[in-house]
Parts: sequence; C-alpha cells; structure tokens
Amino acid sequence: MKKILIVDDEIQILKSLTRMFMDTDYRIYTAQNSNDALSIIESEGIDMIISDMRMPLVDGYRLLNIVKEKYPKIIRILLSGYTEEKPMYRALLHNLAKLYIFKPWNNNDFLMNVKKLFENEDQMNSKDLIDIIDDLDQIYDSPGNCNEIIARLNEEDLNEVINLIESDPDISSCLLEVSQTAIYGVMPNSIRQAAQYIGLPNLKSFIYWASLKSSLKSDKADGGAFDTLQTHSYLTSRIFLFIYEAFLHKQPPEASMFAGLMHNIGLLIQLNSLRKKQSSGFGADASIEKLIQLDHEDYQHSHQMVGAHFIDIWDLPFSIYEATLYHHRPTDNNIVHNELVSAVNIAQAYAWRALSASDRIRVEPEVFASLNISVDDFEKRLARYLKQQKI
Amino acid sequence: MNILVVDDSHFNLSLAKRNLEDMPEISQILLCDDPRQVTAILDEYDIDILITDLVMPALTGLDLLKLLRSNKKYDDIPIIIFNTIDDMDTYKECFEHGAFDYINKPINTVELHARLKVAIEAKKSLNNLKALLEVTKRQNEELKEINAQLSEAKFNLVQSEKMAAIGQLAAGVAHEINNPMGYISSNFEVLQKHFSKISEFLALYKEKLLSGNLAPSEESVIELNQKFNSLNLDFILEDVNDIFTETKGGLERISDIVNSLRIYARSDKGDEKGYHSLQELLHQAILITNNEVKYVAKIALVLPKDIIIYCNRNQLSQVFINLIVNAAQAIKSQNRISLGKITIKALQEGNNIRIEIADDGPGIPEENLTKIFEPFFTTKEVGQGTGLGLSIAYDIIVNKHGGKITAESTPGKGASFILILPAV
Repeated sequence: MKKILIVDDEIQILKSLTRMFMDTDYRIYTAQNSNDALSIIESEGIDMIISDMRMPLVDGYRLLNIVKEKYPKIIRILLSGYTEEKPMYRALLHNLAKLYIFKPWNNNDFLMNVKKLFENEDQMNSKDLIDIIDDLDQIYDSPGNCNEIIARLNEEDLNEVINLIESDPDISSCLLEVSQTAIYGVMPNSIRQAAQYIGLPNLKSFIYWASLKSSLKSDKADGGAFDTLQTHSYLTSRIFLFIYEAFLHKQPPEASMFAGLMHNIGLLIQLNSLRKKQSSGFGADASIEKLIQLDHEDYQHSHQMVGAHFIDIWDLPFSIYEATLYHHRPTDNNIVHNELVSAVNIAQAYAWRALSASDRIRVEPEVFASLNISVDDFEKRLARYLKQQKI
Repeated sequence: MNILVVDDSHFNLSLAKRNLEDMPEISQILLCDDPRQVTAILDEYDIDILITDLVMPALTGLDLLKLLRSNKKYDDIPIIIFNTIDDMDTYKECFEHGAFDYINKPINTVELHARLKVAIEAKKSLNNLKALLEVTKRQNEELKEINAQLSEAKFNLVQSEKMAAIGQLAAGVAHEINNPMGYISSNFEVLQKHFSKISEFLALYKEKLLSGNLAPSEESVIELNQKFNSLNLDFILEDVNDIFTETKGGLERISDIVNSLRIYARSDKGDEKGYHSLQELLHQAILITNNEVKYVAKIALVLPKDIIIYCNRNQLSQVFINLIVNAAQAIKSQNRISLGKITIKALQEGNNIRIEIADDGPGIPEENLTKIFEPFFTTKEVGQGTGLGLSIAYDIIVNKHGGKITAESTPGKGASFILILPAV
C-alpha cells in the first residue's frame, strides 16, 4: 500500500486533499510544517510527498531539497498557489519535483496523475530495464568540464556558466550548432545570446547532450550513423518547437525546450554500446532506412527505457523523461504530459520522413486529434517551413 | 520721441517747430493744421506726445481731446494744450477730459522746453511700465503652461503608479485567493460525489417504501410519504443539482480571473527582452485570435517587413491579442450582417515605433477614453471578460517598455489604440 504525505500550513487544504483521496487505496499522512513532515518520513517511510511552497520556518523549497537528498526514492510533487517567479524558477532549475500542480486543482486530474506517477515508478524498477542497463558496457557520466558547468548551473550563476561554455571549444561549438539547427524561430548569433535565450533550466539539458556527444565522439562512434542520428535529433527538436509555436501557440512546459533534442539519446547510447560489442548498431550499413528500422522496430522498446533511465539519473525534468520514455507510444495511459509527448512523437516521425524523403513512417491520427491539429494543415505548413529553411 | 503739433495757424505751427527742434530727446516733429486728420496721423505714425491748440474752427481742442480720450488706442499719448483761453471752465474741462499739461501762448521757449521735458519723462515712464507689463504677462503665460505640464505629469505619474500597483496586486491577490479557491473547489467536487450517493440512497429508500417491502406500519409509510412531499424533496433533489452546476460555473469564473492575473504576474523569464520581428509578433497574434475574429471582422495589416522591436515577446503579444480581441468584440456587439474591419498599422518614426490598432465598431464615448485603462473598468456585460486586459496592457507598454498607449475614438465610427514604443 502506497503512503502519501501531504504538507501544507493551511489545515483546510490538508483536509480537502485527504477527502480527495477518500476512495483510493493510499494511506494518507498530513503535516502542517516541515519538521513534522520529516519526522513522519523518518518513522513511517513514505512513497510520495505533496508539499506547498510557502510554509513557516522551513519552506517547501528547503523541505523538498532535504527530501531529494536524503530520500531520493520518494516521489515529490509541488502543490502551490505561489505565483512569484523566483522560487518556482529555482524549484524547476533544481528539478525539485516531478510534477508541479497549481491551486486551485482539479480532483480527477490530480488523482490520475498520482496514479500515473506510481505506475511509472514501478515500470522503471522492472527487471528488464535493469538487465539492459547492466548490458551497456559504459557508464555515461558527464566528462570533467561539464561537471563544473553543472555546478555553476546549480548555483544559478548564468554569467559564469556562459564563461565556462565560451572557454570550452567543444561545448561552445555544440551550443552554436544546437542554437542554429535545433531551435525554431530565433537565430541567436553568439554564445551569450544563445545561452540567454535558452535559459538556465534548459541549458542543463543541453549540457548533458553536449557531454553525451563528446563521449560518443571520443568513443569513435561511426561517423555516418552518429551524424545521421544527430541530424535527426536536431530536426526533431526544431519541428517539436515549431509545433508548439505555430500550432499550439505557446511555449513548451518550463525547462522542456529540448525534449525533442533528447528524446532519442537512448538509441544513441544503445547502438554505440552494441557496436563496441561487435553486434549490430552503428555498423557498416548505417543507411537511413536501417536506422529507422533500429529506431522503430528492433530496439523500439529498449531504447526508450534506456534513454529515460539516463534522463532520470541526470536529474532532468520529468517532462523530458516522459518524452524519452514514450515517444513511440504517445497514447499510453500512463503519460502525464500528454501534449508534450504527442508533439515529440509527431516531430520525430516527420523528421525521419524529411531525412529519408519517404512517407513510410506514419503517425496515428488520434495523436494529431489529441492536439487539435489537422494532418493536412500540418503537413502543408511544415513542408513550407522546411523548404524555406532549405532543409 | 515723436511729437505731433496741431494748430490751425501755420505761423504757430512753424513757431512751435522751431522751438522744439533743439530738444535732443525729440526725434521727429509732425505738424497738422486740421484737427480732423489727427486720428489718421496717430494711426499711421508712432506719436508719443501730442500738443494741440484749443481754438480751431474745424474741431475745437476740447472736442479733439474728448475724441482721443474716448478711444483707448490713444491712451498712452500725453496731450498738451496750448492755453489761449482765459475761460477757466473750458480749461477745467480740458483737464477733466484727460489733458496732461498746458503751455501758455505766446510760446515761451523755456516754458515750452520745461513742459515738454515733463511730458517726455512721463511718456518714458509710461513706456517702461508698458514694457514691464508685457514681460510680466509673458512670464505669467509661461508659468501657466508649466503648471499645466506639471499637473499632467503628476496625473500620469499617479496613473502609472496605480497601474504598477496592479503588477504587485496581481501576484498578491492571485496567491491569496488561490489557497481558499483550492480547497473550496476540491471540497465542492467531493460534495457533489457525496450528494449523489445520498440521492442514490434516498431513491432506493423511496422505492422500497412504495413497494411496501419494509413492512413498517401503515402510519409510518403515510407519514414518510407526507414528509417527503411537504419537504418538497422531489424538487429539492433536482434543484440541488442545478445549484451544483451553477456554483461550479461561479468557481470557474473566479479561477479565470485569478488565472489571468497569475499568467500576467508570472511572466516567463522575468522581464527579459529581446529583439523580435514586429511582423512576426503581429502575425502570431492574428493567428491566435483567429477564432475570435473570423466571423466578425476582416483584419488588414499594413507595415514594413523589417521593423525590429526590442521587447518582451510574451508581454507584447499579450497586448496585441488583447487589443485585437477587444476590437472584434466591439464590432460583434453591433450584430452586423457584413464583416467589420480591423486595421493594424505600424511604422518607424525616428526613434519610436508607432503601432495603431483600429476598428470600425461603435467607438468609445469621450468620457471613457482614459477610464478604460483602469483595472476592472469594463463596459461589457456582467460576467464577460475580467476588465483587466487594458490595464495590464497599459502596465506592459508604459511601465515595462517605457512607451505610451492612448485611445482615440469617434463615436459611431470606431476606435483606435495607438502604441508608441522606443525602438531600442
């Protein structure tokens, strides 16, 4: 039986949330301040914590930080009526919560999301995944220079971060590359401009991409195949942002600008590992058709799990985690960020279509329907955009 | 100084002239033998002092005096009379009618010079006074203008402070309301669920009673039925559902208002500004508002392609969207058969970018033209809109971008909103 702890200084909120969980099987605990919350966690053992931001003495931000450090397995949800940017922004930057819910909330949605979060947790702890990860013969940790940048990121020092990026030729050229080919609409023409536009939370995702790229390159991953997969990721990122801007008329959820860029890292990692073992992967036949097949068929299930696993241990936002885990099955019931995952699904499919100049890959009509986008309209406008960008 | 001497006798005129010629302060001596021409001469020449005889056939000196003094134009000119009459009354009358001084005839040079000196000094003083008066008048005008400018500046300052307050108000209110809204709406949802369970039970209960399976006493059954009817429970059960629906609507409305405040207060990346293509921003706004506009009006966009504007993209988009939607709603309120027109124009004027969004709707009454930027001021029906759009737009344009926003309107012909933004 799952145990949920709710922390809020307002007793009425605690009562209404407890009421909300009435018909479920979860065991509910409540606390009105962080100290009580920590005692409960200590004595009872908790699976999920739902906390408000504003609380006396030790606020939600600090509480969730402590929980993240001491009890990383506890699923953290931030429930807030707090509208001020700074604390929310910091919480996002430090990935303090898997989910951010604002007051007032919808009971049904809340309950569904809690259910999905628990189910997702179970899935990622499955034996299959653990086997696959063990099989990878390398630990993809971030190389030295990136660690320092990540540290500065966590200190919220944008200027230092920019300086560090500028002083590293690999990372800075990667940033320029990304800002020129993986973003929609804007063309920053300097490192500083790019970094300012992208913003600290998204830069974190970017750094892991850059470091992964360095890792794979230094591993002498097969040039052709790696480059094609990279091109596909960049194009997916662009189309993903195009969908948000031109059809959904909004920005992707906070800190998930690079969901499209990161979605296929699992495939990159897995293929590289397999190549080194002399099995398939980046082999002689690195044609686009072959890569599409590897992506959509041969390793469809596993590469999503692999990618999600790394997003998780790199402590990147939950939305990107879901994009990586579900980008081939956007209609799965367990998804919390439905819109985002559907957008990535469409983007990656059409990126392959553009690169292979074939219609072979199709997107389920219900995915388009769920975003209220007409397929014809989308294809026409995308074709126009690609032609204009000479892709 | 210019002197005019009036006398019907030519001999007297030349005598006077000869006597006046050697006074250094006198620059011009004009002679006139016909008093009827005096006004014409005064109008044409710049005369400072007038000397006139009294006994003249065409017009007496006294009449001339009366004539001149009846016209304010000539008030500045001291009039000296040649005294030839022993008649004290006439004399007195002359001074009563504004004669300045007299000179005895036959003319004594010393006396003439003395009298004239006095007149000249008097005229000089008068001239100085006049000059001083002009200066004072001018300064007064300037002060008045500065005062008006200060008043306007103060008004604008108070206005913009009011509007700036909305930013802080937005954040504070949103948070304060969100908490109670949180548990009210959540409890409300649960209440609905509770209630449907209670109704379910009541329905079953009623059914069983009627069927008589419970086997309570006849009286009990009758009593229960009576109670059910007298409490009007049939109606109540239905009405409660209606109350739930309506209250839910009310809660959603509160949520919308708070949400619009929240979105506004929670600007995405702080006040970060960047360079954006104005054309792109406007295109996007038009696209987003398409649903609201398409059956109501046509949008005409007139602007050069290359205007780049330095701004916070989301905030400016919000302003455009708000103005376009307002325009469409204004036109819609007229229930026209044909489509209305919304015109969006922009151009670069020196260091500023001028954007105008105009509609051909009913227009805005003059007394409302400044009120519309006040928070919660709205002429829409109760429940439509939040009345915050324009005050938020004002805050974005004026406080966050250092620009200006004004509304102009010809009632019956439409309204237009003019935004002036600094280009850099």
